[in-house]
Amino acid sequence: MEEKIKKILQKALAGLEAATTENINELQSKFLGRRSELNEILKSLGKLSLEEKKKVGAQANKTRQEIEKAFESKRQQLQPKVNDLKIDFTAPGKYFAVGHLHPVTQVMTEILEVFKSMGYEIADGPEVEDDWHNFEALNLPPEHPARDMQDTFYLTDGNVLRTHTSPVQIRYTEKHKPPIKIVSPGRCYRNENEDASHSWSFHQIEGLVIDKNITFADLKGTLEVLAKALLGPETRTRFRPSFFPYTEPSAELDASCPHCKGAGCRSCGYSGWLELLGSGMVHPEVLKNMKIDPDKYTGFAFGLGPERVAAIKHEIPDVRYFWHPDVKFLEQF
Amino acid sequence: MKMPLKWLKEYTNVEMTAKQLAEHLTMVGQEVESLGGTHDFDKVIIGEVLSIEKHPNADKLHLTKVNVGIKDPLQIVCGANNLSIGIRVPVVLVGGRVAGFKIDKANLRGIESFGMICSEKELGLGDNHDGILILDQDSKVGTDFKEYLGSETVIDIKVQPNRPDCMGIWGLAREVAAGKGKLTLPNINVAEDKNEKTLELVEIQVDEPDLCPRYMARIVKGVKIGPSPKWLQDRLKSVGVRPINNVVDISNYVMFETGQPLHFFDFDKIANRGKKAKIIIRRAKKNENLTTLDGVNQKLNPDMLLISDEKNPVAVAGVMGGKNTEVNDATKNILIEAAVFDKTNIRKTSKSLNLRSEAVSRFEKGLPLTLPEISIDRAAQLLSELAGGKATKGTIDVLSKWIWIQHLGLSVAKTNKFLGIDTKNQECIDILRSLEFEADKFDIVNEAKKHLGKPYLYGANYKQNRAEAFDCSYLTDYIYSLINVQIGHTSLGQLHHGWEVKTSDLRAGDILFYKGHIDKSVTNEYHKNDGKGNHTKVLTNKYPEGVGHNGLYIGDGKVIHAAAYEYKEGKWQEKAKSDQKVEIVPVEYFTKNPEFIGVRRYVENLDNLIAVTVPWWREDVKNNADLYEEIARVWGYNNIPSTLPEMRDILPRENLDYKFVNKLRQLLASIGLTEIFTYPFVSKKDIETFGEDIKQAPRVANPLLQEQGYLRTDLIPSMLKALAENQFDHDIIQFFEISQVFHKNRAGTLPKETKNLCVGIKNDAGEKASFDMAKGIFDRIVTEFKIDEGSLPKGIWRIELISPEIMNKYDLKKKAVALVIDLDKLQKAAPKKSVFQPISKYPYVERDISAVFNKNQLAKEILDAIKKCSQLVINAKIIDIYEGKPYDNNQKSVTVRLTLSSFDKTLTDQEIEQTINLCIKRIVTLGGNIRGGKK
Repeated sequence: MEEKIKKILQKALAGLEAATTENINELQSKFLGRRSELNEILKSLGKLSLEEKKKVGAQANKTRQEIEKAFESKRQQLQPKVNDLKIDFTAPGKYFAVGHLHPVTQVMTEILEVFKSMGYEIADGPEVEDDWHNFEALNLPPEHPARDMQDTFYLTDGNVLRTHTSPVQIRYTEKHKPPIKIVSPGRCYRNENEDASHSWSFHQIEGLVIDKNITFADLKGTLEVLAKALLGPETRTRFRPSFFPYTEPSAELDASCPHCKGAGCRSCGYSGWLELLGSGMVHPEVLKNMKIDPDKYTGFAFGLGPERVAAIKHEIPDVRYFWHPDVKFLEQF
Repeated sequence: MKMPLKWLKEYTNVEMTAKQLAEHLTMVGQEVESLGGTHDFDKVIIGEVLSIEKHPNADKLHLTKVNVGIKDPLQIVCGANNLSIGIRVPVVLVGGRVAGFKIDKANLRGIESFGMICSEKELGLGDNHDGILILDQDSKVGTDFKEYLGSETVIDIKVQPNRPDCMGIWGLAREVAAGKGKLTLPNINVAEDKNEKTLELVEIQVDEPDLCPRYMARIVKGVKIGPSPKWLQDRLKSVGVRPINNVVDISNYVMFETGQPLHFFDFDKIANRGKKAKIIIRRAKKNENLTTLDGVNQKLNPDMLLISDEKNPVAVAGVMGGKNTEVNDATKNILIEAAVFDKTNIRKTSKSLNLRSEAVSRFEKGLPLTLPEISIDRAAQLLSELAGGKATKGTIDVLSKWIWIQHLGLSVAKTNKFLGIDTKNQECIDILRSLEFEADKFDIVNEAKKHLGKPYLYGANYKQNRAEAFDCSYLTDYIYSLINVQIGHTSLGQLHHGWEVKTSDLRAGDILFYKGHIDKSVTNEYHKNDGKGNHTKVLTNKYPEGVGHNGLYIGDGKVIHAAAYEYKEGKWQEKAKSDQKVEIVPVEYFTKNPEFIGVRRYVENLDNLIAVTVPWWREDVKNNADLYEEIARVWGYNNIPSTLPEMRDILPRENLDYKFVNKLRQLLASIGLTEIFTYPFVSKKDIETFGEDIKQAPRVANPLLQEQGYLRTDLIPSMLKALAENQFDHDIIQFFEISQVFHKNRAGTLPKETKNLCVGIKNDAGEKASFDMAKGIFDRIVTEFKIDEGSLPKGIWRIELISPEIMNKYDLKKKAVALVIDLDKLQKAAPKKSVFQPISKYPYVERDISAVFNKNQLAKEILDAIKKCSQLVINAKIIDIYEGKPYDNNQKSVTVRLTLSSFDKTLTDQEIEQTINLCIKRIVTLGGNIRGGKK
């Protein structure tokens, strides 16, 4: 009997050697279960003499404990280990293609978010415009130099590719009365030879605010907020007189160069300032063309070029990059 | 416009450094392009050559010692062959700069050199590079060479198109002086020869008054041609003009002073038939020619304005003079032309002749009609002072247009409200006066009283009578015109134009009317002035009885009027001539008159108005907004506070188009696509390649490139070009562009614009791989916007496989496909909101069925068939399509994943089995061969 129990132990330990996570439960019931040899022995103890009972019982129980312990430690062994698969953590993961929004789109979205947060509505209009909306209503009479064939793409039907997004303002006011607070983003076109600072198309974001009591100071304040939102809170601004046919007074906003903080560098032509946008109070003639009474209402308008803002922000030296798709350029943004 | 500081400072006492001036000009609205000197070099000093030795190591080099006014002479190595001891030469010192190069201490063949002796060319003074520049022997050693040259600091200004007055130094001096100092312009006086009248020497005939509203001419006789004085030459050089001789220099000088381009003809070369020469301003004839001063034979056409004598053209008006009447050394007598030409015509002529000149850049901005009066006398004065000439008596002046004087009424309250500032009345007046505007507090009563006692004259008007005589309505019109309130020229106009006020509410400034004596017949029309010099005719039938008289209420029960008639003994009787004048009468004279009509008012508030008269050279100032700008820029844009608009509440409206496109862009970028922008211009070939009708494509009238003469009707051609440009950069290129495409519309309307998305895929793994990506992107888009693909109308989207032929045309070496979606329509198809769908509380069961089909079998048909076979099929989708071994070339294996469930109970195995069998039946009907049973 003694020998038999020893054999059971040996068999169990030998069997356990080859145990896997799959068969360990099976083995455990084989060696320790109700129908196992060891259990049979324990169950048959009653038939033995007291002395033998003591001796065999003690041996069998000890063996049982030993086997249990062996199983326990085997189970431990079989527990999966961290990084059992020897994963190389430095190797690249599964590849997901990376897309890129055009840098100008990114800037436009950013600008529009600023305006949306200030309660502006986004308005849009067609890219091909008639003479009235693109020129005449904006105080650009037929003989105005800006209308030269040189600057404008004309269609054979007499319409034009809009030279600015200002016609949207005219279209919007055909359907809406003050208070008006809109921005109009979109593509515009100029018939100019391409060079580092000129392209045939470009984008504009124009703003228009009309109500009673809108002041020139409101324009200045609005543009300062915009400049800081776009170029950083430390941005300083310079508001200076300018000329546009559709605004009076007119103003340009210069922002301190974000690269040199106004000290002067290549980006700002060593002046410390960057021309950011043109603006002004809506010209009374334009208000009249919008069928808005200039004696009762005042308004301001401004326009900025996202290409210019993108060029400033990312130090892009040539606007032609924007219009001639090159992955090596686009992937940078 | 170059503004030399020394020249400027002759006219102003403003003490500012060049940098401060540039800053100041920027802040008053002049765009400063550059700030620099006339000469592009630094640290160049006059030196004296003390010794010359041969360079020990180089045959062609010399070793010199040069005295530059400091203690020790400099050792300089020099290669010039015109060196000699004792000459004065320009020397650039170490640390200085010539010809764009910085000069450092150099070692030339073993000998140190401390500077450089310069040639004319190196200094940018001429083309001579044969040797060094040798200066006058009396030039002082140690003098800064710039000082020696009379070099000036120059601010270059980009003059705004509305400011022709700033195309002259005088105008710029006004800008600088405004609010900062005093302005002193030279006195102009012409010593005329009393014995010879200009009129007897020449006749001016303007055939085209619209193109030449003013032409003035003077003759200066006996000029002696010679060099100009140095100061004049220096000034011309400082604005970039080469001095020629005293006479030519004066014409340029006066242009730079005043902004008025002048032309000097050699008077003796003008055809002179009989006693008098004749200048004719006319359009060119067809095929007429003129050789201009630059020696070019210009071909002219009738769109161009010419100055001609009785035989030949002598100048292209406002653009350039003719060679035939050019001033030269033999010239004795000068005809000065000072004119105003139509700006548009000048611009067009200049453009079509491709001929720019200083004159054109001024005329094309539009010159004020008064300017020639000033400039022609200034030129005559200088011709006599500097060229010994003498002007004949009188100026010929052909003026065909009324010189408009712009009055404006400025309310300080409105100015403050508009600008958001707080100026006082007097501050506004001071600012305007500093810009040489006339500005005075407007008091309508005082203004009216000024004219008391002036004679009555029926039909008096501004052109003839100014403020010397009035009739009743001209008096009131005149007074109101001082604040640019246009009330009408006649009593009828004034009665019709104002708004009615009760006699009990009378206020100073109101106008009272009675029928009175009507000089001519009753009329129903009058002309209304728009305040800019234009009139419109107005008809009214409101006053059939007519209206004959009015007067201005001045308060205290008194009226001022100009009257010729009075009501006596029941009828209108003419007063004695001496009593026909501007006078005060009691208000009852009107109100108690049996023919009293009523009272009219024109301005809400006449208090605190400033009557402004715009100076003649500021034609850009036409309305109050223009005055606001003048005040703001002198007040300083910097001093304007920064506020945000206080508006009535508006509900911000979301732009759904923008939202849709923005979301789409984000989606596409997030799944790996890169956004591109391309120009919308394409060729006929581009359009026709993709089967579009060229007749539908809007055509560009003036394309930059002939092969880009149409607006695109499809985004694909530009996409293919972009893919081709980038095809070798990566194995997969995925681009997208969102842009408008254009199609012609009904005549008289704008082209139809449609917003399209074009996705272009180039995948080196092959066309099928590219297609799968394009289709997957489409699937992703419709899923994103919860669009049921099946419900999309035809033609909203397509995937284009690119044929080898087209690939060839677009230089594509790799297979590409394009996906095109009409976004306007796609957006419409997208549900506005998602609606909750009931969810079964019983388990969902998934089963896959694989079957082998003929390759022609459409996936959509398989899914449609399966979905319809039982209500228990909640969803069916294709999860795999396999082609290849072990199947035939015309076979494919399709695996469909079914989702089954019921809203009523948990499905039993039997029910599931039944449903699957139904599906299998359908598949078999479609010709499918079930593979390996089911899972």
